[in-house]
Amino acid sequence: MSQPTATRTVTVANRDGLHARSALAVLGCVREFRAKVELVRDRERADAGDIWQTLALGAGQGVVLRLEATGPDAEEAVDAVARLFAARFHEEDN
Amino acid sequence: MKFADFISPEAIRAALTAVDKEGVIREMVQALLDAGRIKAGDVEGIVQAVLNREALGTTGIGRGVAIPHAKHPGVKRLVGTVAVSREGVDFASLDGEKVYVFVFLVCPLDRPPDHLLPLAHTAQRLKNETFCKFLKQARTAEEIRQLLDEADEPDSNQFGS
Repeated sequence: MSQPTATRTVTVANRDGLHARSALAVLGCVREFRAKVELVRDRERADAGDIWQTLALGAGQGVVLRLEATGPDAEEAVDAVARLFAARFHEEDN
Repeated sequence: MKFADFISPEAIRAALTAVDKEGVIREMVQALLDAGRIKAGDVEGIVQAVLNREALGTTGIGRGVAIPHAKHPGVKRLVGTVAVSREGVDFASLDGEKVYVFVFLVCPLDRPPDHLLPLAHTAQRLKNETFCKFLKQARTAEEIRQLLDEADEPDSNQFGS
């Protein structure tokens, strides 16, 4: 039986982009879920649970990413990550 | 983007002597000062900016690597260095391991996205565990510089995938 999946499109809204602090925030968020969450930029895929892969995307302000999750709580996972993006990773200087 | 675009070769350090987080940061800031990349009057401010940034969340992102960085008005363009500690330093890393390789960046205040591509390039290259291993084993600044140059080769796969 295949696992549930969920997708969402998000935009990097904060000024500094998906840099170290925001990548760490994404990591902390996805760790709460069992689903595997990937960030997809064009053809590049990054496991959101691997901060190296997230940083390697070099996603600056305005970049559109697709969230793709697979697992029992895939929907909740993409919801939570999407909220984080919408909140600009709670960074004060935005 | 290449390491050569943001790493000052004269500031590379192959044998850090500091044994703690603040000590390492001070040593790397001193390296940038010695290389003429920052001004003496900005040293304390930069050190504090880096420590303040660390307080927000460790830049020890695992695999024995840390990417400490800060913004400071004293620099007009991004400056950076690479430094290696043979003994390793406790940097409160995400994986609980010591840090041996530091990629250190100081960015201008008014151009925040400057550090994003250097960070992305660093992550892309340091994802390669062989490259990471070679950096940790480097004995001289020249060795580190050569490793960075090799990693900058177009479609670099000198270190395997």
